[in-house]
Amino acid sequence: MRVEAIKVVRSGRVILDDVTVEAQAGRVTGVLGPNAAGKTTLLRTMVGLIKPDAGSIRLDGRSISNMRAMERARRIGLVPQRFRSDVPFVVHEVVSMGARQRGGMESNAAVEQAIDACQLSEQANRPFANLSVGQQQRVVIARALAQVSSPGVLILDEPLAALDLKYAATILSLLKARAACGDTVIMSLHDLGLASSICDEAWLLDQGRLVAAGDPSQVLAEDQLETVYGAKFERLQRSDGSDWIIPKTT
Amino acid sequence: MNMIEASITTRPVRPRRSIVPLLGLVIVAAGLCVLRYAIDRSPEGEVGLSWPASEWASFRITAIMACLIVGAGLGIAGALMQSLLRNPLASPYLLGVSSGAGLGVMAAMAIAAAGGLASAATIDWSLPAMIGATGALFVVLALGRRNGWPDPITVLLAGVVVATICAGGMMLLQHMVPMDVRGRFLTWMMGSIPEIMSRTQLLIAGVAVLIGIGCSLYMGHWLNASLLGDDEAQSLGVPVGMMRLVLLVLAGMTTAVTVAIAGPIGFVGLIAPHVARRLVGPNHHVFLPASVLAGIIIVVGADVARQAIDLGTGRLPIGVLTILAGGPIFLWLLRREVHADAS
Repeated sequence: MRVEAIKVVRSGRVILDDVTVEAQAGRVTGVLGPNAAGKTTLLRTMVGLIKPDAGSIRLDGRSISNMRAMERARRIGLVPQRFRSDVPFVVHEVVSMGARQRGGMESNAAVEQAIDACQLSEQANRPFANLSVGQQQRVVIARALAQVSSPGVLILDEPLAALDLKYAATILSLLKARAACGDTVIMSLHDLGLASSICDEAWLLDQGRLVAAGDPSQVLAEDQLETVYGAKFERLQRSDGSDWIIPKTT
Repeated sequence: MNMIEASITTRPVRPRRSIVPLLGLVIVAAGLCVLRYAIDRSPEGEVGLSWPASEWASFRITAIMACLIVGAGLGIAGALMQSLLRNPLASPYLLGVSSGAGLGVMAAMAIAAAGGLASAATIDWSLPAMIGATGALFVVLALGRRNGWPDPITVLLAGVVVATICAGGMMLLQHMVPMDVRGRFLTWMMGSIPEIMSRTQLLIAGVAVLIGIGCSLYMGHWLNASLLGDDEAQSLGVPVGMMRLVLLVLAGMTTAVTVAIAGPIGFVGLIAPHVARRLVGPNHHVFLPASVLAGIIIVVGADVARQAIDLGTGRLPIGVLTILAGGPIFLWLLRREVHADAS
């Protein structure tokens, strides 16, 4: 999926300015940056929810604005940062809504597979509104997994925000597995340490501009992070040789 | 989430569990239709049950058909309005359709009176009602747009303002016409189920309501997805703006048809979706048919009841009955919702 010279202006304020970048199939891409950097706007534009004032989003060479809504839904799935917690359906129905456009047996199989993968089998017949926020987050992720046929694009806006460590690990494993199957996984994260350890690629945004894109070890250089975040970070070496980045406290 | 929002969104019911209440509604509706056919009121006011003589049968069948069309139309329009505007207090008349129809009828009555049409009392007012209702609907939809598509809050506000302006126009015309025209207009405003209608008129109205029901059912899964919120529905491939426009037009046209047949009949479009939601839950594949059936039951039931009620001034107008009975029922439903949410 290619983002080409995207510009988004809202109420006279430039939210995204000339962002050009490409997400590779089969890789997990982390979208990073401080609050109000434009991460959510970029992800929503990539799904087609926001029409850019300039530029285009291309999937396999085709602009997504030229795709029919159902085709786009089959190929690009979204896990939004915020979702309604009062949805009046049971978990199985919510996940099924994602797979509806896949049709028939494929749809049923995708739903069961997604519910199982997100460890929601016990909650399948429970009302969505009665679940904890973390469980609801997993349901929304399951819906996106059931929605997109591989190879597709999964776009997740802070998908781990409400999850405990066990389920965060489960979901990360799932996403990596989907990437290994050829899906493009793009997710915004605030945890730089997590991003450096699990992402194959990182995009760093600041004030609507793309500051850097590429290998996480290069994008997440301390001096660059200090400039973007206005805070100091330190890089720790883990036992497996990978980096872990944490903010320095005074 | 406040109590009002809660009443539109909580307590999911799986579709397979909804078949029994749906069948129950069908049976009750069919039973009431048979009762309406058989209920007999003598010129002296005595009420009994008997199959009508052949010369009277067609009147009763016409009344039943009109009840079915009006009940189904108001039921589906109310359900669509509450879902599309995400407001459990929304009713078909929020689109200004009823007031627009009222203004159309009042204007036609005023013109007829000014033209010296002595037989104005026998004129069929359904055409001016339809013109007024359609005009108000399109003004509301034109004013209620945001980014080119209907926006729930803006439509709601535009509907309330257009209805108020139409009400002002009606008052002005009432002030200007003779007293007897004023009386006729008030009678029209109270609603009535006609026992005489041309087959063509019945057919057109029936087809219009069936189109409304059919299209709404076809878009049932879109309506379900829209309960997730606009962004999520769009990301699932639902053209939210287009869906909202099409269904609001259908809801408005369906309401306009019912108002043209029977005048404004209050509370049916408000209560029917609440009853349906309590029985079968929010899944539109069963909620919409249940709202249609609930609307039919309320209108046919009210028409049966009014045959038996005479306060010395003839049969009660159906609109008076639905409001006087519907208001307390709605309050009772509201209290039950509040208690259920608190427990």
